[in-house]
Amino acid sequence: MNTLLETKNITKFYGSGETISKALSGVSFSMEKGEFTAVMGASGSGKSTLLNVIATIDRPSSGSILIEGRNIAEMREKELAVFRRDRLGFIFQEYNLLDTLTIAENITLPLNLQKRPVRETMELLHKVAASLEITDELSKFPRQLSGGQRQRAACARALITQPALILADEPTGALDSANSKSLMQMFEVMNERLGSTILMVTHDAVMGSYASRVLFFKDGIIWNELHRGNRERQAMYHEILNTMAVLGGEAHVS
Amino acid sequence: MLAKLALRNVKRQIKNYLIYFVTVTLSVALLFAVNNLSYSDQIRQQAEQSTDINFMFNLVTVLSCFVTALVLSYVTGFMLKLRKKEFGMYLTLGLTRQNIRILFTCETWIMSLLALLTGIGAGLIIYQFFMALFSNFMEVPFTISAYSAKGLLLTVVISIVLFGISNLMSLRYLKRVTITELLREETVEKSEKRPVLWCVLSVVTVFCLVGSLVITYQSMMAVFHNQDGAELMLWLAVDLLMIFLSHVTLSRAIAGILLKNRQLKNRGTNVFILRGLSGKMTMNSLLIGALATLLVFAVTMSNISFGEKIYADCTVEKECPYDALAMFVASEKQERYMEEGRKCIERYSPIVSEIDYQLYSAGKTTLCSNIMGYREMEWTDKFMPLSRFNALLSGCGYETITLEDEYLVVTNVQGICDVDFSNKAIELNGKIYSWARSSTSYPEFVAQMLYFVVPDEALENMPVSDRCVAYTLKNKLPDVSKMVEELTNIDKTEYATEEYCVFRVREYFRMYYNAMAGTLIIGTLYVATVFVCLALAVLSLKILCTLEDERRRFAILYRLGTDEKTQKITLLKQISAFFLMPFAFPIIMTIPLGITLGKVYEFWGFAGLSGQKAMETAGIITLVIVGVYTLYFFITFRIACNYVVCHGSEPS
Repeated sequence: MNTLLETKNITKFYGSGETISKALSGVSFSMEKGEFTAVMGASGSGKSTLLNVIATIDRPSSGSILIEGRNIAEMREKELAVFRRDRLGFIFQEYNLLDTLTIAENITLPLNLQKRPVRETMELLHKVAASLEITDELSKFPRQLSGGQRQRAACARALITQPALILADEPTGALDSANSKSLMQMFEVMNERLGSTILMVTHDAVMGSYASRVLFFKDGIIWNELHRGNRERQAMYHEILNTMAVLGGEAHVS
Repeated sequence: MLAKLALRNVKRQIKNYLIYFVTVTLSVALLFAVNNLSYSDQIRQQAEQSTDINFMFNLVTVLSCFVTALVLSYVTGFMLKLRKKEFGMYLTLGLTRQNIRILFTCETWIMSLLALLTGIGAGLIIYQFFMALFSNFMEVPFTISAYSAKGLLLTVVISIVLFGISNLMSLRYLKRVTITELLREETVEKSEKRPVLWCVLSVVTVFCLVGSLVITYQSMMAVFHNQDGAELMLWLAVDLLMIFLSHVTLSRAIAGILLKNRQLKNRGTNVFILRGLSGKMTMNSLLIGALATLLVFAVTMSNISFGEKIYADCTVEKECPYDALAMFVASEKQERYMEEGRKCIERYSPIVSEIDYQLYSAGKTTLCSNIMGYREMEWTDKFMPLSRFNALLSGCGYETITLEDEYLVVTNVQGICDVDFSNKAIELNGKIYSWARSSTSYPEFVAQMLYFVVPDEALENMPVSDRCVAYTLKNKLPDVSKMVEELTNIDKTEYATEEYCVFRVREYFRMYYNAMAGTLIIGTLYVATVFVCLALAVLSLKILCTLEDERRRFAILYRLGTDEKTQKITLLKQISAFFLMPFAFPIIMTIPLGITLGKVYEFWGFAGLSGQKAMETAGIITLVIVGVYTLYFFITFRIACNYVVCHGSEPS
């Protein structure tokens, strides 16, 4: 397997002087292509900060982040925008769909930004919509869909450019348990059948159990790490709960 | 504590809501300027010459109050909308509804009183600007004009009453609104669902608009040809209605139709721009229609009022081509009256040269009977010898003419000019004279609306009907009003007034017409300024109201890989398309308006200045409007850019 993401000793500080606070205190880890990794930890542990610096929407104070061998910490703003557009896919808790656009327009917007031909765009749209079972919803506006359907649309938008890495920030945070389960099964499909590499931040042990690897954060560092290996998901779930109990965090267990 | 909170909020709002503050300040400034204008001694002095001037300033004051009230209620509503979530939050934290109302009242009154002060300060300058403009039109030297205490008092009273009314309306809303309504997100502006239907309606309304403009032009030309022009006002009303309807339908259709073009839609952020525009246009189509109509009205009025000034300048030259003219019906007393007039003129300025000329009449109606109205009144034909006519022409810089056994019809009425004289020959002293041409282009050397120029030999032995003298004076007349008063007393007829005296004094005519044109221009410029500023302020506020939502949307675009430059271009396209919609047509309208005014000048007999002067005026008006537009657009864009565009760090 090839290394897709490699972070080396990342730190991130906010504020200055006496009011300085450390969000990341030297985080190093790597991800292989096709890996599904979950990041868990209590509020303020630094997991969202990590996601933001990898997503290039925030810059680390020091350290390097290599995605496909390119150090994004050294890229200029314009290069970052292009990199974000072409190589990264995003899925957020609040879906982040544009309310003025139809679902089809939301999904194809990243391709429009890449200036892809219309015919190719339409082909990719129908392919991704079919695989995520949202073909019937394409002409609707986000406000006309349920939370689960909106999150599927957000996934379709993240997948359509075939990014190197999909970043998901609490993707089930606004969903009920049925929709959360459905979404996680879809993540499994994206990971196993479509070969997507996924880095997901979550509080939820059930959601974490779908990942092949879980990183536990505490006070800005990787405190522990679990690998699913050949274990059943249920076994992974119990392992996560045990780890969280030791971690003593305030993670929510559903 | 509430007062402290209010003061802190106001400090923050001055920074955030620049457009609100500028708009209220500008409204107060314009109100103060117009109140000073209507109490100005200089203008009142001119107003004595015309009751229309007083009427016009009263009308402008009433209009200003109405527009200011509209602007204030709109901006107060805007403030409330921007801050409703914050008020909802205060209520959930335990503040009472009464506390919120006191807080909002304190804030709006602090803002309003500040704007009143700055508005009065700006009004002081605007007033002097208008007075300088007025002095320029009156062709009198500009001196700093005194301010009126009454004008100041009236401005303060009107402003406070208007602030009070808009505040009461907001308080009424805050009394009735529920916490949920305050905290709820604004509904998303929905895209147009039936773009094809609106497109068809647009085509129909644009077609009707073009048709009604053509018919209006034809009706106007009919009026100039002395034909029935009763429908002109009706067609003008239809034009305004069609401008309104075409903008409503076009604004609803345009984005929807563009969205149907797949290639265009799928390019970059176009779909984002068009969807946003479609929602905005659908929600605001009536507003866009109303603003476009107001702006067309402002542009038209500005063009017409400047046209009035051009007309006034040319009319003076045409109606009084010499420094002074004396025009008497031949009678026994005429010699004495002319001598008295001459002496009177010499008391004011030495006479450099004078040209004597006469009209002749044999008491026949051969040519006048060809004209409807003149035939019934049995108007007699009057003739001027060619040599005298040429002497008068060359004396005021016109080219002389030649006539060979022909007669020239000279009139100042276009209807008479259009009458066919081609088969009307006249016999004078045994010789037949045929029609050469008819013209309205020559200066008015006599008081008659119609006379005929013929070769000198045709008038031998014909009795003189009118005796006239054209004077060229050495000096500029120091007190022309007094001189005209004295000359009027010489004319003993019962019809004699300063305007209809047998003596015409160019300087007096100039003063009279300048007062009329100057007042009209100041009035219409003021109204146009108010309309343009109102339109721009409303558009800016509409954009700024939605910044919170746009910020969220641009944050998503940023995450999807849209760089800062693309975001700025997207925002620029979005705002300029919304701003341009009600402005494009009024600006384009200046071209046909300029052409039409050029035609009107031709009909007035000022062929020399026809198209060019009118187009120059239209061009200047367009530039001024575009300048104000650019200023407002730039401020709005800058604020929106600072607030909306994401760059570098994590957007909130």
